[in-house]
Amino acid sequence: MDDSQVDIDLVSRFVNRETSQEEERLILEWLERSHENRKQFADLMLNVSLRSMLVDPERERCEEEMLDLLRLRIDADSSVEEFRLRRRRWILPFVAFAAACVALFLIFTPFSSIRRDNTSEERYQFSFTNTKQIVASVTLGDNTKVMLKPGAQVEYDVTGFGDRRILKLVGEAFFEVAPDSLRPFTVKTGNIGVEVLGTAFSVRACDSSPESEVVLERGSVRILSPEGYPLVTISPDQRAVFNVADGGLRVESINAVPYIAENYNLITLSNASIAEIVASIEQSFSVNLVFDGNTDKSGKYFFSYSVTDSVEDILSILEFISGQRFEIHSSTLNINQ
Amino acid sequence: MTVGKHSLQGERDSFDDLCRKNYASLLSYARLFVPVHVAQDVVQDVLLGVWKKRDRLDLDSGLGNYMVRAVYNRCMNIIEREKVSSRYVDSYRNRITSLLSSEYLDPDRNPVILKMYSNDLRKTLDSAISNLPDRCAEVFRMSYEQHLSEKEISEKLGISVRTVETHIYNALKKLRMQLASMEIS
Repeated sequence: MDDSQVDIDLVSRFVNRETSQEEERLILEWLERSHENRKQFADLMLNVSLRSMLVDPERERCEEEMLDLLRLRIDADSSVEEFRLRRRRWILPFVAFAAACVALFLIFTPFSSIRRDNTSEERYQFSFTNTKQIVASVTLGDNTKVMLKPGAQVEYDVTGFGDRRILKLVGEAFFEVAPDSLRPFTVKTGNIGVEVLGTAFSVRACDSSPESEVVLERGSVRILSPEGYPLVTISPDQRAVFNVADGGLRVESINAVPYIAENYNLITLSNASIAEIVASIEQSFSVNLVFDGNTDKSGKYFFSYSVTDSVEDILSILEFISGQRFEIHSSTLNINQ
Repeated sequence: MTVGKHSLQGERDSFDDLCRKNYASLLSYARLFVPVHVAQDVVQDVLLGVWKKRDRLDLDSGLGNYMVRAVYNRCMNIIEREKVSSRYVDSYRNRITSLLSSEYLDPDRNPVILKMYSNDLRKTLDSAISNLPDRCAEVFRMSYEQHLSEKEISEKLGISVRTVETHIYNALKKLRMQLASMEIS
């Protein structure tokens, strides 16, 4: 790469994440040489990113989708505010669950038109249980990724979800929900519902404990009572804990990324051969990999990855460090009836 | 609800306007630090934060600088937290981002950033389009602003589809060149 000038096309491809690893290595080397180089590259990045956004035909459409999602979140936020104001008047009778039941019903009536839950009609066609000892990853038809801890089970309707996306969960799982402003995504557990307006969160709802927990990493979710009434909307880096025994709900601050990383992100291999790394990846993602076994088998590597990453990304890193090519041969899921 | 300068609907309209004016430029800034889908969340979270604090901020004052800094801070937080998580891969890309983000991409240390990114993107695009030849600009606007298909445009203007395609192609080419030589200020 020329010492003094960097190619705009290269910067453009870097911003669009289209550069190869070799190109990125060269860029890094060039950047490390001088302050001038770094300044030039950064200014070009800033220019290029803004301009490509300006003339991108996809932009308007994506923008509208994103703005719709934002509006949904704001609406959800303000409806919870209103709900909270009315709720205070009767929360004590509710906890006592006595003759106040009738009064409860009357107060709830204005909201019944908002909640369209009809639990008697729901049927779940597809069920998946994680019978392994490590976190298993499932991708749903709408591109939502669910990472299940050992023993966790999900049920959902695999044929397109209809106009709502509902998934039932027992146990613990981490969700990365594909955005779809027309179809809200709801996770139902025995104790709480989680309505998703944003993207990445974990839910813990085990049969053995009266407490259910939701930790939000990115985006926005609304916690629902078992009947489907909104309890609270939480923001990133918050944890909501709902106790079904006493109806208590608390929301606290938490550093979500390390918390979730610790719980769902496990695989670190030290001094492992390529074959061992491949076996580990195959197990984590339920795939079969094909690679050229003829090359040097003696190399030992340190390799670490998360089950939240895509297999393709992980393989490209493995290819880079080992110099071998890998292919995904097939994908198999462990399906339990 | 809060009593402010505007009615509730007026507040919402102001906010909608703010979002439209800034969404694209904030996104194109955020994606320099994190992947696009994370960048989308960052920008949403910042805009939502503005909405929640609307009592204390003046929605009409543009807020551009404030939001650029908010995006920067959030992205930096995400990067810092990623670094300590066990899933962090020390890739070349991550090292490049690290190298550039604390000085060269910091809005308070690189004066170019606030100038470029806290502006109404539409105004910039509009003035670039108005510099195109009349027919070309007309076709381009029908396509990108009114979202008409090439067939619909050709029927409305009484020209062939091929001509429509050529106009759009030329418009894009000219816009790219113009924006490349324009000082975005």
